[in-house]
Amino acid sequence: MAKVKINGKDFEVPTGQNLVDAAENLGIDIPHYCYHPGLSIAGQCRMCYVEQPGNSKLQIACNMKCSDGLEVITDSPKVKDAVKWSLEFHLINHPIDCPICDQAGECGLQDYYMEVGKYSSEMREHKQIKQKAVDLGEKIVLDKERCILCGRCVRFTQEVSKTSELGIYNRGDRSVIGTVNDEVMKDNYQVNTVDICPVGALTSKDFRFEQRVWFLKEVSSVCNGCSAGCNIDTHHKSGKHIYRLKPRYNPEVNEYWMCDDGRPTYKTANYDHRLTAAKLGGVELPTNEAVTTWMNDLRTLIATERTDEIAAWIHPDLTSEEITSIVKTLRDEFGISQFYSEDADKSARDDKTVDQLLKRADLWCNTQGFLKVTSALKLKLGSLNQLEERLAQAKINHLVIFGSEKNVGVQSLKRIRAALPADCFTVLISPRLQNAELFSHSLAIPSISHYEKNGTIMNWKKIEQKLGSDFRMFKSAWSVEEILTSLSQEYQRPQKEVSRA
Amino acid sequence: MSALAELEKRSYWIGIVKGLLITGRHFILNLTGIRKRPTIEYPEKRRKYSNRFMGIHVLTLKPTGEIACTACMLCATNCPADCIHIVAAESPNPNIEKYPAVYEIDLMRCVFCGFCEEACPVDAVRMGRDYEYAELSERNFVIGIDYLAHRPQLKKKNVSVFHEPEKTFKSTVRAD
Repeated sequence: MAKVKINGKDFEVPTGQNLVDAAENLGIDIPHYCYHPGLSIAGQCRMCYVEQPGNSKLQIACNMKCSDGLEVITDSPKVKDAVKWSLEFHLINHPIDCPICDQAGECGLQDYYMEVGKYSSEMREHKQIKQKAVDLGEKIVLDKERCILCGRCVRFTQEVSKTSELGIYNRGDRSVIGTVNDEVMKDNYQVNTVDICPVGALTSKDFRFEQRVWFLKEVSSVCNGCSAGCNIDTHHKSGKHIYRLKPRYNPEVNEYWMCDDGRPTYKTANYDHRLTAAKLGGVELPTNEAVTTWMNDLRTLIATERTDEIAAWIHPDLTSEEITSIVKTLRDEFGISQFYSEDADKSARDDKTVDQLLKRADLWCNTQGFLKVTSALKLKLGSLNQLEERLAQAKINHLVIFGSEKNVGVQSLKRIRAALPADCFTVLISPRLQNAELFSHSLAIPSISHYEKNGTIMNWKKIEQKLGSDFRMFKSAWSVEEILTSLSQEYQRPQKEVSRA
Repeated sequence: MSALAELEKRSYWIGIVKGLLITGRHFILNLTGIRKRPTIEYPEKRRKYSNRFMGIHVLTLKPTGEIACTACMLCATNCPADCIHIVAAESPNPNIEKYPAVYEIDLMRCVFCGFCEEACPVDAVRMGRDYEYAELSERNFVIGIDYLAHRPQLKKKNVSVFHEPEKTFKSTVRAD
């Protein structure tokens, strides 16, 4: 630890920590654009000026490491004046088109203008006219006028994604961000440049014009795209629609980044892809009635001790709590012995990094947790082939399918559908509409999507991570635990005597 | 007790005559126009409202006839009744970046406070002067761009001040 003095107060901070980060942790805001803790230091924006007693020149805080005896002042009139003029230099050619800019509301220029700027412009020259809405990459759009040339995106492609696709071209006020020969960026981490862009120069095509950021609320969650388990924030509007995912800092898992394949995973949670009401043979019914219908069929099989004719299909996208609840209810309470699942052993074995960065080959998000829970509960799991065989032999009269919301699970479901005999009572518990359409004759009960779940998933490094959602998008969609609790309550409820006649 | 009151108590016709006298007085006063009436003959005659009257909203246009709104959603943000629904999209015109593909105001929810007009940075939404709006279904009270910007009552006079350069930007030009 190093003893430093900021604004006349003594603090203890880790030795070698960057001064901007250290001050931020202590609640002292030092304005900065080009500095990003995940990237190298450029010193381009000249916004993070601090004053050192005894040094007549101002210094930039992003290039200072905390060490014993460091003394800086961040709020003297001299510093404030310098920052104000730095900001004016940034805004000389900035179009200030905040009303149509997607960054408005989370823009560094807006924030610092209100904090340290508030001048009327001294410029008499016309602003530089540059290209707007340039198709920079497959997933990003560049507005060259709005760019303040902090170079964060350039350093990102050089240091993190290591594709070095971006660069700053031309000189002076004609400088622009661009690619060689205006090629389209193909980097699979390009949307991270949108996240780190302090202004609205880079915008994501997926989120462009979709929603203003001040309407959105953030909930911390974990991406379900693959077994990497990148920490993310889900941005949703009043719990009705998810608009985007953004990476959340976790030094053990994903640092500040996430891949572009994980970003659109929220789409299956939105209305278009969701099963929003329980359906029996295509006819909608309330969820609690659907559970009763399910129980009625299950009860006759349990009462006549034909539980070996019941099977359940599960997959490694369920949280550990969901798997526990499935096993405890279906196996321990109802005595169902046949469980089939995707081959989690194989996907754990074949799991490897795809691009040396974050993305993994295993597309299930909780494979490790699935293996851990099933082995702890001593659950015997059959494979898809075995299930198909049993279905072909017509030995299964009641099949419970926990359907995944992801595309990767659809292939198995199609195979099950093909092997399914017509007289088998099928219950599908899934958030995905497409699954319900596949099993259109069956009883479909809507469950909640990954980004609405509360629970634990384990990534490939065996780090347990919590999903902490606080919103539900549809009242009729219940969590798997709620469906099973309701089922078990239905089972225990005393039945009316069947008419004795 | 006076004799008249005693008589009234006994017979009803005095009361009837008194009542008819009141009716007759109002009838004659109103008919001859001696007294100024508070009501007007509505569909034929209309009341004159203040210039600051806030009626059904108007979306202004650019001189080219395109809608002036940039879909910044500040009106929707500022709306206390939450009655403005905007869907932003990329404009088909390459010179314009963002425009409202859908701009709807739910008149049943709107409280006509004029906060949208105040919030608008480009004078795209104004409070109009129309107040007559009758429909059979609640759904028809959600009015879109067609009605807001192109209704016949406006007579195409709804051009945004923001797009008349001589009117704006004066304050930003420095006097040397």
